[in-house]
Amino acid sequence: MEIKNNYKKVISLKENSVLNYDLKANSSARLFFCNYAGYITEINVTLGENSSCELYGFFKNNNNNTNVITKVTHKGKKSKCNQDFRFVNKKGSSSFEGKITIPKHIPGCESHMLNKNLLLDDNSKAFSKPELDINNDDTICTHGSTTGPIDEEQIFYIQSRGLSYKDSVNMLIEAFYQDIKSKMEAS
Amino acid sequence: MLKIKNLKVSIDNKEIIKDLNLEIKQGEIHALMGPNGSGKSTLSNVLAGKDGYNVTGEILYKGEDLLKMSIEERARKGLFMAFQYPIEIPGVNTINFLKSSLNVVRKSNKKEAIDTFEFLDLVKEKAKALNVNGSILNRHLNVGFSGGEKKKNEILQMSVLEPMFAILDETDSGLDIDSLKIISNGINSLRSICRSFLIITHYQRLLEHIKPDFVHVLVDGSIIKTGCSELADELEKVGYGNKK
Repeated sequence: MEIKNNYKKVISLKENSVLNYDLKANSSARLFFCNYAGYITEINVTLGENSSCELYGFFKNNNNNTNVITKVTHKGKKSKCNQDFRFVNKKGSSSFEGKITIPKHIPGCESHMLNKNLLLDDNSKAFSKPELDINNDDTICTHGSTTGPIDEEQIFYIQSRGLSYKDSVNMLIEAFYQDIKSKMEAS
Repeated sequence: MLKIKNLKVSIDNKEIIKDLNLEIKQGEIHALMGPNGSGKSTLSNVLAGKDGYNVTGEILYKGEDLLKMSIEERARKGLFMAFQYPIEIPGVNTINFLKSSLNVVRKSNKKEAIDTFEFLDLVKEKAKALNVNGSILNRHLNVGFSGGEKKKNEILQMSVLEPMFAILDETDSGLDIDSLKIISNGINSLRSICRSFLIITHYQRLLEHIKPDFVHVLVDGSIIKTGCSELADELEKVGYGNKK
């Protein structure tokens, strides 16, 4: 779809899908993706001059697999993009492949990509593949990825204040999504 | 309140606590001093219920077998540990955490959940008494807190939860003189005939503010000496080495 002004949307994914967003010059978009049933989702974003896009995703995989592929192409100068995708896997797996492309003749762009994965048991897996194709030196670009189980020290601390193990785990799962949820509530 | 008999604790076959006996009666304050690696923090972790230790012996808390209780059960029955290194939990708001904790403890004591306004008044009052900057309450739990703020947050939690038995694991370490005074005042204000404390410390200076009923010296996993508060002064002069 074409985006010309300001666009905000929460998208609950219900099937395998390919979503295309073409941000025109000076436009902005804030998109939230969520899914609890395991699908393959490809998100393609092209950014016009001075446009700005935020992509957030939170996914819970209980006994299923979720694949997210993002392709962000900065087609106009001074365009900005921020991606933050988080997965919680319980007997499930997730895969995040993110690609950022900044062509040679497009200066002044800023692009960030973050992927965090929380594994609730030994049978869960997470794959993370960030890819940066940067061809212009006048660029700010970062990427980060973390994968790990719930911190036992954090659970101990919460339990030592009277909450059960299960409630402590749930509190930490909520905390894992907190950054994204607070942005969603503020939208 | 607490009776420890023949306690032995090991991790990976390494014995940390060797035959420890200790009785803390209701209303008493006991200080446990000792050099690094003597087993002080291991003891507090075992009392709070942390996993990963091989424990033998007996610990009775209010007449019940403490070692059979889960971590949360201990907390709900009024046992509180102020952490030596309070854990940072991003994404969990400090004040919400404190409210969840208080309500779960109240519920298990068959008290009604506290409502939001009553709770805010309570926390404000306690925070003011401890000279805790209210802004930390709206931040994520211990995240980005200074060393002093983390320790004050532990004492704030203690004063809101009003435990029966509190373990303070090196709460004084890393505090400046003013914070030490504030924290000591907080602890003293909770002193009561029905509440007991186990204060673990390296230094005698905390005990200048909080007068303990007994001082124990823990070396190599056993209590080698017990005395009244003067023992702490003596240790300050001669060190632990000469007490072995």
